[in-house]
Amino acid sequence: MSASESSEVLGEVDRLQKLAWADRRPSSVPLFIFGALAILSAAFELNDLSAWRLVYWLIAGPTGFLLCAAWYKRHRITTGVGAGRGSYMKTGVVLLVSFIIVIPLWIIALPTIAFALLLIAVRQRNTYLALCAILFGVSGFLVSIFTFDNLLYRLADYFGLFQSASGYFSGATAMVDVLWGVLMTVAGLIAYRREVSVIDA
Amino acid sequence: MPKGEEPGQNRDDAVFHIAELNDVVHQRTRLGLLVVLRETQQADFSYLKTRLKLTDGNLGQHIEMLRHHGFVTVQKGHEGQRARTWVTITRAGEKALSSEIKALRNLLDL
Repeated sequence: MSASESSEVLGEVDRLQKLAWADRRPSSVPLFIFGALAILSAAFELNDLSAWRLVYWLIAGPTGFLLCAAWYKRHRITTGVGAGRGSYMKTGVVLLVSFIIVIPLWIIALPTIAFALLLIAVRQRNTYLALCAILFGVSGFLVSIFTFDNLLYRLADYFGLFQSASGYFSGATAMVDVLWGVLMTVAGLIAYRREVSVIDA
Repeated sequence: MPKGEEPGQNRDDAVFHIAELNDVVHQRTRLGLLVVLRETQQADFSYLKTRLKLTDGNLGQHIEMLRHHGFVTVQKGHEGQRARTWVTITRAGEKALSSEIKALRNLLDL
């Protein structure tokens, strides 16, 4: 076999791999689902129910994985394409059980959810989803230690835009939730366009 | 000829890398089948037929060859009233595919 034949075969291998990758919708679906869940979580902050935000993520995190599993199951039945490595169903169940048994995980619920998503992305060799999972985890951790609240308070105070009676700016978590949810949805749309363009090409 | 290289060494390397190619996996259709299955882990017969532009008989033959060598497993069943045949790649299949691609890349590097 010559080098040119080898190159031709490798080119065909690459093309087929990309098509199969696009057929299984690896990035857009989890990003849409977790983006929607992040936007929904802002409702707790806006309605002064911030204590329930943590409880929300303890349930919404595993539910997100189970929703992904349900979508991929339906996709598998309708198109005949498997979901690739890593099971969203198992991850969702393990996460739910972990939250029930390991109480300290509650404090780092968002980074734990992001870590579970990262594990699936690594197993699927999905760099784009892995990057989104890391950003989700880091921003979730920074929200949980009020980094954004304090940063926004200092900025608003510096520019004289906001004068808080209590000296505490509490809207940042909701803002970050909405911002991050929208960013994930946009990332999902970009991934969707990429997946469709590979199939159409 | 590059400095320090013996006459015919490049050709010897090529022979060595060709020997690394697996006859079962090297066939283009079977290589394509394994590539698609490594990405999806599992796919049904109709999807594979459409994606690889094959006939029922041709696809069946290649799947049977891969199954015989332990590179895929085949599961037949029903979903509703529709008969489905699911093909799943095995660890041996993934390993054989990785070795094949590595050997092809080595040939390219010569």
